[in-house]
Amino acid sequence: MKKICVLIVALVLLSMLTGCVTGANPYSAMMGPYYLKQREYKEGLKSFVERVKENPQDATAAYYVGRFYLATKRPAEAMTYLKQAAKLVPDNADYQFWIGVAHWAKLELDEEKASYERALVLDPDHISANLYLGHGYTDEKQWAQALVLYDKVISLDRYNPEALYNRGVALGGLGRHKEEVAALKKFLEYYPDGSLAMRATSRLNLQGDFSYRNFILGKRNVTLKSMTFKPGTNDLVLESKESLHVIAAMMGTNKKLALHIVAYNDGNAAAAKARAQAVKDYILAGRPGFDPKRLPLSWFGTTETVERKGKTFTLEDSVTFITVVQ
Amino acid sequence: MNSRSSLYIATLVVFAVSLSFLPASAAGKLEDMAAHALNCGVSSESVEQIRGLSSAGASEDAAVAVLSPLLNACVDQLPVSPLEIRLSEGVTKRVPLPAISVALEKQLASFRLAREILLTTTGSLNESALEVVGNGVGKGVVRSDFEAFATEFGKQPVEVFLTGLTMVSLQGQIDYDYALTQRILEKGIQAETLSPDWQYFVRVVLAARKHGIEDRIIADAAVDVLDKGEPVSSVLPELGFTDRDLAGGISK
Repeated sequence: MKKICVLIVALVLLSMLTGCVTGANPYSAMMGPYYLKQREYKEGLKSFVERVKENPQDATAAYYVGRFYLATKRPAEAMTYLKQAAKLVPDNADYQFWIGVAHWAKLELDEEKASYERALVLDPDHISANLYLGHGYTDEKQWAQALVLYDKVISLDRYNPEALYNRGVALGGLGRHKEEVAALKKFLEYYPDGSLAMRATSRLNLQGDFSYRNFILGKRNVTLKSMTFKPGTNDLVLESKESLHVIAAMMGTNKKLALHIVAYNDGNAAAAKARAQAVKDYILAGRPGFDPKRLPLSWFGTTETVERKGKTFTLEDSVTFITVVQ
Repeated sequence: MNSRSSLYIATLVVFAVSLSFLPASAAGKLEDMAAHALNCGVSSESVEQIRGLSSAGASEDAAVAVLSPLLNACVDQLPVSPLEIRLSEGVTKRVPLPAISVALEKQLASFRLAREILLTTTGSLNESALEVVGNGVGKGVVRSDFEAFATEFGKQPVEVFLTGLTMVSLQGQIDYDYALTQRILEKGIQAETLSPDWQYFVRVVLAARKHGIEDRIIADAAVDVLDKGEPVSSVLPELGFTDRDLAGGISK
């Protein structure tokens, strides 16, 4: 902290020596990202609004005031400062991009799109502008244009989660469902948790692919890889074991959490019972503190029927988890 | 005499005075009316525009018929600038003067109705509220929606009242059921999260309708978002649209 303070003082002195400059100001360029990174938006606002008052030519300061306002969900105020920055430095793609985001927050969707397009004229490889322009096309169901942009984002940023997920959505919109499934699985491989993972799983299930499923475990919605066994055995494959580690961790944290393990195997109740037991044994293995009664078993020699958005699917061989109501 | 009765009487007096400015016979009256209009506060640009029409060959009757609603709005202390904007638009687009006159009279009638609605429900007038209600009734929003809103929410702070009133107007113009708007407003006001940005919620409704999302579901999403204190833009992702990160990172 002491070093940062020394550096700030040095930069302030430097900026005083060089006089007020148009565009990038060393102090603004350093402290703006600091406040953003620390999520100290209000503190950033307090400091930077003053800077803009003192030097209205400081485009960087105006830009960060805009960013802080936007982060505090005040898009109208943000717009004023972002436009001020863009007027001072018209060829800055970031400024145009964030004007676009502010337009979105104000629900001005046509203006939003135009801003991203301006950003891309200035910098065709601007990842966020490509991504959000793609989002605009997705919201308008213009799938082909959206797909082009998501592919571009992925070519620039291989693991971009939003592009990976929405690429699947766009492929689905185009009716290319096999590719949609592959894209969603790729996304889930990298990002198996969170709200996008849940949405990806829902879409996957709607295509009849249940390799991932969403479960309500206690009070949490959780995406898990489905239980799969090595052919002809009751031995779980590695990916399924990883899902069980998640469940075990949740049970470790929440001592009251108890789950029914429900197995289905069409025409073979004995196999269903054995698999339910195998799942239970794996969760309990190495966890002597777990009461086995927290994992009651059920098994059925039938298919599992799953309904998703009015569609009905039958799964011949599956294991599911249902929270025990206390 | 209570304050509401005083307001009624004042309104009637203003209305009666305004009638005295209506042209008994248009011929030769334009200059006289123009002087009154300028004196009252009609902008010199608008008056000059109408004088210009007359010198360009329009009949004095036609010019008087166009100026009359502006003067009457001014005398009645109703918003004049919306009429002036409409006049300017009409003249620029070369709309025939009788059509401009009819449009202005219609707008004036809307503002008079707006004044009646606001006075009978809240007992007070506010120029911004008059404009919102006047524009709304002029575009087909039923008066009962405004009356219901003003009766229920008339005691809210001005900013909240105007935000809600604008929502009633804009959402009414696209036939969004008032009962749904009311549910959204009640949540926003109860949770104290109805910021001015919500006045443009109608854009969410339009975008969602394009996707075939039912109005009731849109209202449910809005209520959820208001309950969480999120901004109006959060309704879009709540309805399945893509999201944007308003805080974002520090680089592209």
